[in-house]
Amino acid sequence: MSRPARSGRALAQWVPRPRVILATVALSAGLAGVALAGCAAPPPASGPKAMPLVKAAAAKAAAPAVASAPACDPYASSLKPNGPPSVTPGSWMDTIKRRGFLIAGVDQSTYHFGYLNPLDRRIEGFDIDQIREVAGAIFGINPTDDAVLGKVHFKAISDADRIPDVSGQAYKGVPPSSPLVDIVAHTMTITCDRLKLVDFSTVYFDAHRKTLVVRPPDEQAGPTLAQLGQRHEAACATKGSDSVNSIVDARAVKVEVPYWTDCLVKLQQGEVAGVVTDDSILEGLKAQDPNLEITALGLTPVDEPYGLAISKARPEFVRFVNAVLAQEIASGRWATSFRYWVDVQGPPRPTWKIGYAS
Amino acid sequence: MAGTAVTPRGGAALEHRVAPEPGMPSARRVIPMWRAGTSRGTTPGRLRTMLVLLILATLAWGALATFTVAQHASAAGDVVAANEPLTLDAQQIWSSLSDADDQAATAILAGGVEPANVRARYASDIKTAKIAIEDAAARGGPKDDLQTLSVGLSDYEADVATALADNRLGYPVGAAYLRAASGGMRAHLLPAANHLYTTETGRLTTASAQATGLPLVIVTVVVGLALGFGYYRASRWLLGRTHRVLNGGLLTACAVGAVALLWLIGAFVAGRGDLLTAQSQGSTPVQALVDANIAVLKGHVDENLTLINNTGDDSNEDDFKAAAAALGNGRGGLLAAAQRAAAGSPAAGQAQAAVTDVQAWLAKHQQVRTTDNSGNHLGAVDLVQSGASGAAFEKASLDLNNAIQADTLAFDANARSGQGAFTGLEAGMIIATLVMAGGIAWGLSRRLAEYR
Repeated sequence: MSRPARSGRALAQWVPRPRVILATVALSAGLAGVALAGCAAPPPASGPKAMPLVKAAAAKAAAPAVASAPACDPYASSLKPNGPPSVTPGSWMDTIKRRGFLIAGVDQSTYHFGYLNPLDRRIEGFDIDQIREVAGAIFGINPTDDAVLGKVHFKAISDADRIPDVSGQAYKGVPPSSPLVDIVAHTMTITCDRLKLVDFSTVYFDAHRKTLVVRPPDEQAGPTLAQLGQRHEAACATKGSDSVNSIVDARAVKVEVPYWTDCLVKLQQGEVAGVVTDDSILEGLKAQDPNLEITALGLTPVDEPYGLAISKARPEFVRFVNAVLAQEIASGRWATSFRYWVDVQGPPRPTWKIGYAS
Repeated sequence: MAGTAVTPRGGAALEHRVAPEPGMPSARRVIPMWRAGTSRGTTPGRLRTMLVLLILATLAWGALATFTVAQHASAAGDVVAANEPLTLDAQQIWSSLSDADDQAATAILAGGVEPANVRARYASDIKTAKIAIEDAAARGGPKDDLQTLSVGLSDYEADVATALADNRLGYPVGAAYLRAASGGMRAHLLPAANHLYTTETGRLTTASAQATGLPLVIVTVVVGLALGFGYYRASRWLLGRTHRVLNGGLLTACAVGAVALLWLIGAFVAGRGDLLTAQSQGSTPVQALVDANIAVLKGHVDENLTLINNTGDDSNEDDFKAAAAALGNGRGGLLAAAQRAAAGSPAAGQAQAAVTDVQAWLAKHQQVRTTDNSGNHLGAVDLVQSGASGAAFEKASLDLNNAIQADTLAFDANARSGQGAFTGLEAGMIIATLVMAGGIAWGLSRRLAEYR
């Protein structure tokens, strides 16, 4: 492997906690970063299909919301903060502060974004770092201090539970419930459909739908989803995810499972030829098996801008969170977290324009 | 029978002529002298007929008795030698696979390096299952189920091994391999084990019913009593004809027949009693306890899987609720059934304790879910692994296993004792029959000789 070793992890000691994960990172060195920053295909095979993330994001800032309905712009649909984050009396932040902990709905199986590290049994990742920022701002604790974890109750939730759990509204067959969490940080794409049910923060991560395949034994580039479809091979996605639509579009055989890691099992056992979803998630899967490769869809590109989901009943909390994100970006901690979890050569600040609806 | 065949003409005088036949009233057939001794109408002739009939009847009854004894002894032998071991194998396969599934989930939930005791218990479960599968195959167990089990078990082991390896590296895909392993276990292995167990307990019940069945024995006893009545009528006839009070041969046959009949009845009553006890205090409570134990293990796996998948109240939580509902409260369900079945058996006390413990464990589950749902996932994991819930489960599991073991021993002891009651009976019946037939031949031929 000629990729840059992920020494950025060692350098980026912004969080003073033991990095047991380093051992595993050595195996997956540099995997996550390459595609997100430079190319979707491995370096020897970086073809024209692989669109560099930075350029893609820049292009999107100019012509946003390629895959969304024209009625909304996921990159500029959130609420503008009222100055720096402050816990105003009577606000939802105040409620959380009096309660003593923030309840966050998170993923626990998406490596490097939100996952339960089996080694220290802690939930960590890029999504989790955003939650640390929000909790730190509410409770007046430095988010890089582990003390902030004592102020968060992480509730691991499934993809399908994200909207019902944060809004209390029924969504896609999941029955309504009273809001169970204050905020959701769960590789959650801002879409126009979802914007009708929940509010989102500004975009904190910009993902793109890609294909994960087993690297061919020769030096050739791995197949795209479109090519898998031509060969009538099977591709895997989680049940009910939008990625299933891409598999159907490509005319590949669709295989649906509950979790993304279940797709990795099927890929490793040869039951499917590809996994289709956001590159952020695919990087996490690839980091667990160095024999894999991320390729393009071979179809119309699909953008997946991530936001933190909050109930529509709490606009003051949305503004607060956006203020927190703005502060995080300005302080450089966003870049540090991005470089730690996603790409060691990540940009110093988001490459997309942070816009607001009002 | 022999007696009744002779009596209609019992009062006729000694003569060498037969009575006129209805169709030819005037005819008086003269019997040639050379046939006189064999004529049925004469006393020696009747004596001869009686001798033959009595011997044939005795031999026929002997054959019937020997057949009856052989049937019951072989059914009792089947219970002890074939059905019981196969049922035990099936139970061991089912229980140890359920437990292995549970231990694997516990190991993954522990994270990183699995606890040594969990790994040891998992390894021992797999080993027990493999030996039991081999034994069951060697004993001629059903091929389909055993094939599914041995093939599926290697796939399961491979998936669990990958899960543990990934888990050690800190990869979340480890939990996915466990899901795959557990899914295969539940979709293929446990149903096959369950089917095997159900089939074998069914066969055990059938063999047991054969060994304890009444019809054949009743027929044998009734025929034996009829034979005795025949002996009695024969000796009455001899008394009338020969004025000898007692015939030694007939008396011997009578005495030996009575002893044989009493032995047969005694052995059957004792053996049947033992086998019925083996059922009521052994196999029946064991089956009920095993059913409860499997439901408990399944519920525990679901409790673990809910925490491993960590997506709150998911399908595994629904499965847990289903298992809990099947176990039931004190009044209905598998727990109550097990407690009822074990009442009066050696495991009664342990079954009672197990029921209480299982209910205590089920009650702790709510605490686990509340802790987990409030966002304290690690607190919930600790509760299940080493906390109150884990301890309650361990206690319930131990009590159930002890109860199963105690009643399995009770079954084995009683079934063996039941089989022992038939020991030597078959040979005894054959010898008794031969002695009886010999006695009749000796006794009657001495009377017959007096006419020569």
